[in-house]
Amino acid sequence: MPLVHTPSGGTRTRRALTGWAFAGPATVLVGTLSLLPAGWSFMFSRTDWNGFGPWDDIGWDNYAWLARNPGVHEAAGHTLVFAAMFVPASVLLGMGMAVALDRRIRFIGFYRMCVIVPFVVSGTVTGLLSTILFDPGFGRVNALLGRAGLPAQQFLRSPDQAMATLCVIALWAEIGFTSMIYLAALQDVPRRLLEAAALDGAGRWRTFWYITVPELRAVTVFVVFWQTLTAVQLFDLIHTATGGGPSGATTTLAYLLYDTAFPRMHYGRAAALSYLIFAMTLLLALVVVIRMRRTGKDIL
Amino acid sequence: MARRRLPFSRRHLLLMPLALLFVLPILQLVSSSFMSTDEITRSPPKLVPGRLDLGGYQRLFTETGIVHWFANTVLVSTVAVVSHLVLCSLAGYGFARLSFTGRAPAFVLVLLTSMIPPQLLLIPTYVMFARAGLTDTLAAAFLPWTASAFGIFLMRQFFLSLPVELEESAALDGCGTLRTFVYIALPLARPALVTLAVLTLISSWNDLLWPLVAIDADTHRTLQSGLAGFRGIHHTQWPELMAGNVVATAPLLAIFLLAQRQFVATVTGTVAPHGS
Repeated sequence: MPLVHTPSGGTRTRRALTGWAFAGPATVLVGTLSLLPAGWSFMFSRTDWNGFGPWDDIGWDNYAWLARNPGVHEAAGHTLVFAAMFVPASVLLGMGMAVALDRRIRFIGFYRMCVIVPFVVSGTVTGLLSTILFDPGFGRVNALLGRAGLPAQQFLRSPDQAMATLCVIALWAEIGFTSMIYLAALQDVPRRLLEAAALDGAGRWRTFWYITVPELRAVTVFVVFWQTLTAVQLFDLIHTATGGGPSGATTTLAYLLYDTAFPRMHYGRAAALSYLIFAMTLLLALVVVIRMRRTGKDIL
Repeated sequence: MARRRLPFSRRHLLLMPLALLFVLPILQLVSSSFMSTDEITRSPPKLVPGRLDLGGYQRLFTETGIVHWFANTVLVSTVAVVSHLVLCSLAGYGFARLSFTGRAPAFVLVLLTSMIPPQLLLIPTYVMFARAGLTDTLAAAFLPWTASAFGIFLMRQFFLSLPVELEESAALDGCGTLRTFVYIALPLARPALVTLAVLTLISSWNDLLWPLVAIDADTHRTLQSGLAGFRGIHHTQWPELMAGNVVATAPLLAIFLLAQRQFVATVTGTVAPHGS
């Protein structure tokens, strides 16, 4: 419960006025710029509007289109495949890197800084840069593979490899943030538990697995939630690295939504698609909340 | 105070290559911006330019709208940061410390809006701005950045974590709510304010989707939407593109490195649960 600061001699009305003077402007702005459009989006999703002229109410037709269109199914599949690679890798690499960085040795501040720096680079720039680094002809990555005696790859130009390549690039950009969160949580693992385990003769790996990993569970729930949102909403990187290609191989739901609404102006369909993404987000939040209740820890 | 030197460890063998993995692509970006097209597309690639070629920067500044894009981005980010700092700290304080009718439902509303994905808002916000005649203006670029549920939440959590006694004694001394907020609570909230400023700066500076959708005129673009469009038109002009990427990234990187320590401390402190 928040402790309450009572202004001297404030009546109920005066308190309400003061409170709303503080909280009102931001609350109204956030509400207007999100709840209002969210409701409006639902209205659009039941029309065939293309940006010009009047629109007709077509009931649930756009949702029916979502259900039958193979392009939507493919995009949903791509989104799931990306999340299935990106989220577990975020947890494993984030935790692993946090453990590696959790040691007071020389230059440790420098190492931590290096890892977090890509987080500042925009998705747009990361995507553009990756087209150079992963170029099949003159890219640095193929040059490195060549030096290791491995054959050159097509990466972003190959329908089979583009998604995995995007995932590697997204991990490069995001993993620093995840490891900083794990690094902070590692500081809160009680020393006496680790010492007790050592006294009982548990090795380093057993201590990590049976003490540290369970202690980090609440953070892991947060990381899974956060990185899944990132994966579902990823747009900038896809737009500049592949533009959804080659031949649609990296078109996720979020990218399909942009593609449906802006070059093609099918606002109704795009709005329905945005509700599909919203439903996926809500479902995910529900799962996370239930998991949190079960672990008995509250991240809020 | 004499600083004890930290020891070396075998772990450097692991951490050195790891750090390189994260930094080398950025170094390659900077060095490629000083190369000619020939040198960039030569195989095998080079990390250090053979000859310093400023052609990329020269053509970037004379043949594209980068100066406009840069100024627009600075404007959007400045509005976003200042407005977030003022509005979100006021609201965060209100939700954390003041008791007023409708506080609970208003805060639940704010939390609910944070669940709404940006994709859901894209089309109606675009239509809303188009109806108001605001698309293709700079106002369209910065209006959605004036406040955020995340900002309100972050500030509320921070104010809740402060000891309430100082504010109570200020109130006993006859200090009004606004004065208590400005002179007692805000100075204590500095770490949270720095974090909010840095995060707002990064997300508003780096946003692509909204300016891509809301803005058409070349002179009203931001750095990200300008660069994203750049690729289609000047397809193989790598030096300009890399120079543009450097211009878009360098200011943000500099500010982030300055604020890094405080930022990392607060983010991790807010997100990671304490005690167990």
